[in-house]
Amino acid sequence: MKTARFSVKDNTNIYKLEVARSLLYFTEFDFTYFWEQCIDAGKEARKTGRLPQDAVNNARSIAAGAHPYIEACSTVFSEVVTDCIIEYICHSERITADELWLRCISAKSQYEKTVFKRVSEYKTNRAINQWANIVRLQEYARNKMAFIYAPDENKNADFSDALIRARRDYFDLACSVAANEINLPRKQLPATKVCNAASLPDATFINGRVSRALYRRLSETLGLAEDAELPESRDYSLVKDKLALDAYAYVKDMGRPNDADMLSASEALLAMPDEVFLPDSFKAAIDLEFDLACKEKLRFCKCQNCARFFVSTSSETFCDRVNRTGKTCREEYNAFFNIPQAEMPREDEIPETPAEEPKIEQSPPEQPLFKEEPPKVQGEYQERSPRTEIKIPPWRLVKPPNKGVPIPLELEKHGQRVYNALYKRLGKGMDENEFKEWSVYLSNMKRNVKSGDSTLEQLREFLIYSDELVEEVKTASRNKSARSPGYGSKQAQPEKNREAAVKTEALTQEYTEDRIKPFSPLTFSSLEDAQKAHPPAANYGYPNNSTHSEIPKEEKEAKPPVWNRLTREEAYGENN
Amino acid sequence: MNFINESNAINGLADTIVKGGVCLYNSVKYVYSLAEKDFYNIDVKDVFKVILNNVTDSDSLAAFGLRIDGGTCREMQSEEYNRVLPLIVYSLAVRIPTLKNVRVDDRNMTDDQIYRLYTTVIQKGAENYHDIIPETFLEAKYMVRKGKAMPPFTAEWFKSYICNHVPALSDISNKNIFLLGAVDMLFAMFYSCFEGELRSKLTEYISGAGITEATV
Repeated sequence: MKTARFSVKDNTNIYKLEVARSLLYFTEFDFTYFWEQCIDAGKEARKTGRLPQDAVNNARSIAAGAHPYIEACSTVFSEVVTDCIIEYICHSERITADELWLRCISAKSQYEKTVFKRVSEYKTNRAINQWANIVRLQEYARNKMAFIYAPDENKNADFSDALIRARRDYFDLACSVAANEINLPRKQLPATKVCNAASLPDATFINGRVSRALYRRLSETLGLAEDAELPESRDYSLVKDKLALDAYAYVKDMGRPNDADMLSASEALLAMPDEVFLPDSFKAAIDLEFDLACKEKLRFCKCQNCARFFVSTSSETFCDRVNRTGKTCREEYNAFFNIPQAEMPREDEIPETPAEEPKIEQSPPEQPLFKEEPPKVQGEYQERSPRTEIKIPPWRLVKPPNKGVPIPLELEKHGQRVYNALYKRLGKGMDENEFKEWSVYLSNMKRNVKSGDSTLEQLREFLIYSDELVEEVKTASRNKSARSPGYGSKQAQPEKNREAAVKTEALTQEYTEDRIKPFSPLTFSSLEDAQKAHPPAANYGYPNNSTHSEIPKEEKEAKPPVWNRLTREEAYGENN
Repeated sequence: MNFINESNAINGLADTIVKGGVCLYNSVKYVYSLAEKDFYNIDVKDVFKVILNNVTDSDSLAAFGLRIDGGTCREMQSEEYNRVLPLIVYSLAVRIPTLKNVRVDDRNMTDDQIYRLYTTVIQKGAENYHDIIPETFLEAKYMVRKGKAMPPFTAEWFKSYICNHVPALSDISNKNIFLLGAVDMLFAMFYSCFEGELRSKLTEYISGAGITEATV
């Protein structure tokens, strides 16, 4: 991976930047843990009156890991924890930073003083809320990446370097136009300088040994020099040449050093990088990475499996990230289509077909192409002829994944209806685990339809099956409520219940023998109810010789009590 | 007026007056340094807000990134200018009789208590060099007794002093003109806030120290 060197203001170190990789890492960096640490530190500071230094250092180191620039600008980002706390207070209490400043104007604790000092720095343009800045820049980097590298819908992800450059320039130009329209001072916008290690602003201190040797050589001349004493408040942007040449005037008669000195100096100087970038802000560093990625032909490709960007030298479709299955997206793809690993080389490993070689041939019209035509770009950016088709390696002639379709409203409503019906009977005719299993299946099915892995027909079938399930659950729920009647009824008809239970048990046994599907047994409060609900003629698909049909009809007729008035003689006998 | 500990209260009030004087002295320097290079970066209104909310402590002004060392306040690094501090404290001390107007539970400070407070402040270093401050303790006492309003606290004596004794600050320059304009407003507003602070301190010494709560 290509690396670049950069330095920042007021820092004598030179840092390494892994082009594209550090940018990608930053865009995907999860600041949740940092945020939690800051909030905990803020809460503790509210109680104790000062920020816990350990927690602050810990949180700061988390933030520094997001990007090399944050690590390099340790002084600029030193108050990032306080910034995060300020942002949290303002957000949670819905107040502005000015209001917070006024609240802390008569600070009583060290913590309040810290907050007051920091907001004062915002007010006097000596600092910005670096936490908010990081969050905004992360969004900026993501958007810019998506703008430049995300493939268009229904188009191929394989686009030319020229198109990438054009998109990048278009994006940057849009920012410039916006800045111009709102009258931002153009001089103050982020920019990156490129220089060698000896012409950096702090070069004297970076190349300390050689600088000291030089001073010894020039001490006679420089000893007589006057101090320039330039007030810091003035703007010297238009007199820079004069200032530089005033300094040069003291060394213009300097000859080359002797061989030994030159050797010693060259050892130190050649150890320094030839090209050092000097971004003056974090945004400049982000833009620099985009520029270097373009220059080095590094691409951010979007994985078709996990939909995340990854760095590649060519347009690839699957990344090498290990996902939740324990395999990389590429491996998963290969396994799915049974492509042996050896047959599927990385794209950058495929030997390119020379332009002169007649490898470009007409493919048969029925042959499906994995890749579509390259996007049409006006003028010089159009690199391929649309009439010719490049011979595709065999491993790429695989069927592309199906295109997903949105779920029609009718099916969505159907699904919701079934869901509601089942949910209503949760715990009665269907237990919680069964319901959970069913709902997970439904949501998976919907997702598969959307991603193209399942068809609408399959979803429809599942919903029809679910309707049947609802009916079964309804019946089961009715029976369940009948099986567990209230206290009074249970006491009143214990014998009848017992009989019904025996009969339904027999029914269940027969039913479960025929089908594998579990079934809730039918239960009735009385034999009479059971007979009324399922008369033998209907049969309901049960075997004819079932116990159900053998119940004699006469037995179920209830005999009314005979209430005949007796005479005294009949009741007590004639003697009484 | 009965204090829980009278000598402690007198010393505490004297300290408050001296601290107020030091704060005003430093505030003038901070305002002067503002004109060095942060004229357009720092809102002078914010600086005033901070000064008037902390009349006995000027440390909060450092939050603006202002410095009052030789770099930005070179013209104020002279022995003559250093005498401004005892003058400021003196200008506050002569107005101590106004504390007689502060009534807590229908009682106020006695003449003896007020005089002891005045002498304590003078002992702490307040001085009227060259009699530059026209007001006196006795005049103030007389006016309070007669129920007359005190004249406004102005920066006239300050301007007069630096014009006569600190030539570096009496030159016509952007910074000096800004300073002369700023002190006019600062002195008047400062005294009004300082009076309130002194009264609350006095009440505190009678009723016991209050408990401060975190605001953030």
